[in-house]
Amino acid sequence: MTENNLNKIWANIESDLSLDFQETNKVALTKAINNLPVYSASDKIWKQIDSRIHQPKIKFFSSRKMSIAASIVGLLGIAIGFLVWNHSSKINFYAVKATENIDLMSISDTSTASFEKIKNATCQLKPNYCSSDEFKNLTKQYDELINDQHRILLQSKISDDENLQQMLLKIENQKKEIQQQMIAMVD
Amino acid sequence: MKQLLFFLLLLTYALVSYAQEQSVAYQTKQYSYSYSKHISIKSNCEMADIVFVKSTGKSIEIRCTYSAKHTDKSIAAKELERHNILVRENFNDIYISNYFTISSDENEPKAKLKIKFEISIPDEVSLEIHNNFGSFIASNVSLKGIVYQDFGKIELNNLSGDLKIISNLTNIFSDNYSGKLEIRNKSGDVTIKNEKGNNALLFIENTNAKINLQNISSGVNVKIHISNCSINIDKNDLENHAVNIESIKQPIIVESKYKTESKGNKYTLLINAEKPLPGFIIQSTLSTIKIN
Repeated sequence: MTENNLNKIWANIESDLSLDFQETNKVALTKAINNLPVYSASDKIWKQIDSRIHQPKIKFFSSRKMSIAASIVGLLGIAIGFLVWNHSSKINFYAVKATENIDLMSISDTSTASFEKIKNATCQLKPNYCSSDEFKNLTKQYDELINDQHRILLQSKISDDENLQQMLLKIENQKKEIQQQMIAMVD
Repeated sequence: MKQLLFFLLLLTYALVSYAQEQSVAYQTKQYSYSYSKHISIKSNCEMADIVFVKSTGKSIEIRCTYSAKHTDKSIAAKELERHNILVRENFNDIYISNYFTISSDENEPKAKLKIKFEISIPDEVSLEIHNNFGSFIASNVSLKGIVYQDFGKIELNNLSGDLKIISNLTNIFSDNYSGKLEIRNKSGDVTIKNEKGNNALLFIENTNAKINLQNISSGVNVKIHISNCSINIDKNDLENHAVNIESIKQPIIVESKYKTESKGNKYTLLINAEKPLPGFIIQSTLSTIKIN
């Protein structure tokens, strides 16, 4: 069979099919549609539909609203947590004018050499006084002052409390007074 | 040209001002405890400013502020870590302590450190305070107990109670105290103003210090033991007391209307000695006693 013959056959089939639809099927389809059964809802059903439409929705939480609310609560929780954490651990700052640091060592004569000299001279010249309670008491006081002085100098490494200077000056004055008392005994 | 010079001056000033500024990094901690009559506050502190104030509430509130000062803000913030603070409650005791961490390989901290405990109390509390350096300050409260303060200062304003102070190189100031006050100090100046109360007691033991007494009311028994001190007394305070002042090695400086007696190196002043009045007794060695 040649290709031309085949094409002719297919053209005939298409033409037949088209004619069938236009003439036979169209009439049958129109007839069928016209003969479809007709149903109508009762008035009761329409009333029910109408009342449902106008009834207010009593949905408390839609899933969307729920997720928004949960997000807000979550964010609030994070914010409060941050504020509490921030309040307890936040480092605050303020500025102060720098004060000139005084070298406290410079106002404290920590050497005990001069006192030792005075003490030895006193004991050589006044051996009785050297063994007296007054002399022992003065020596004890001097040692305590040296000890206090060391403590204040150590403290000055971590503190710039101005009272430390005053205390050191006081100690220096007391040390001098004790030395003078001993010298006065020798004179 | 003038404008340029002015601008340069301004810039220099700004730079110098900036260089002179130091940053203070600080943090606060707060504690709250319920109050009872049996509560006792104990401390073992270093360099702390311990401040007692009257609270308006019914609980004991403790606010701790600690700081580190340095020209570099980041170093100041880092140095805050040297502060170690402990505040806890155990039955009727509230315990407060602090110390500073300085490792053995460090010469000294970079920043200057400071700490303050502000304690608000609704009513009288018992105390046992140990504090080296720093200060003990109390206003408008009622306290009983003992304060050990080495170095630093003590200030008492409008206080009532029964306090014993044991201190070294501590300057003590008291104004408007009512009750019993016992001070055993060494080398720290003492000023007592407006002491009052019935059957109250003011006891001072001190060496190498200046002592000032003003307006000591007639209900207060005064006992003072001093050596190497100078003491100033208001003459009006002696009038309502049975006065007995003994001074060794130093004469008493007093108006001529009062008669001092001397025997060897001992000087004595007696006023109202026979009257049943609260005593004003001073025993002093090598001290200057001035009655103005």
